[in-house]
Amino acid sequence: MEGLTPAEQRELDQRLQKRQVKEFMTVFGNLVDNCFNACVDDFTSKVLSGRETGCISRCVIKSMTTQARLGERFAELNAAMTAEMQQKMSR
Amino acid sequence: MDSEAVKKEIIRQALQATNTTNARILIENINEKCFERCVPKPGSSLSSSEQTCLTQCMEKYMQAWNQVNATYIRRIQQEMANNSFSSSS
Repeated sequence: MEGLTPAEQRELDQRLQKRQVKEFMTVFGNLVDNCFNACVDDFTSKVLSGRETGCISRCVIKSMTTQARLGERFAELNAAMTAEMQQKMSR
Repeated sequence: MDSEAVKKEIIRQALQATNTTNARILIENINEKCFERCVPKPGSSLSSSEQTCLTQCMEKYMQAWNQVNATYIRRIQQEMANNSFSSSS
């Protein structure tokens, strides 16, 4: 983006960063929510049982792996679509 | 202020912002989740068993949050270690 003063550029960077932090925190919150739903059902105790703790760990790792894989597939699809469009346009 | 102090100040502010956002989202989620789980049929007041359930739920949710945090960080560190290992071989 040309035409931005250094001060405006800094302001823009700051805002983008804040938004990124917020997004990440939302993703994190959803992660905790999902794993809590899936793993914790016993409210007769105040403390997470060993079973619940293990379940949460596995849940987090599975979610992270899923997200990574989804990201890869999405990138592949995107690249394929872009290539197809470019082919069509060059005909 | 020298650059080191500026850097520290920025990090402190970033951490503060993260913590505040953290706390806000945490409270919102706890509220929703524990009310859903512990008060299936809302009456005009909270019974003592509902109150106990809510307290335990909150405790457990926070522990779950910490557990997720720890696991997430451990996994990211693993990935970083793996990446640096494979790029150096």
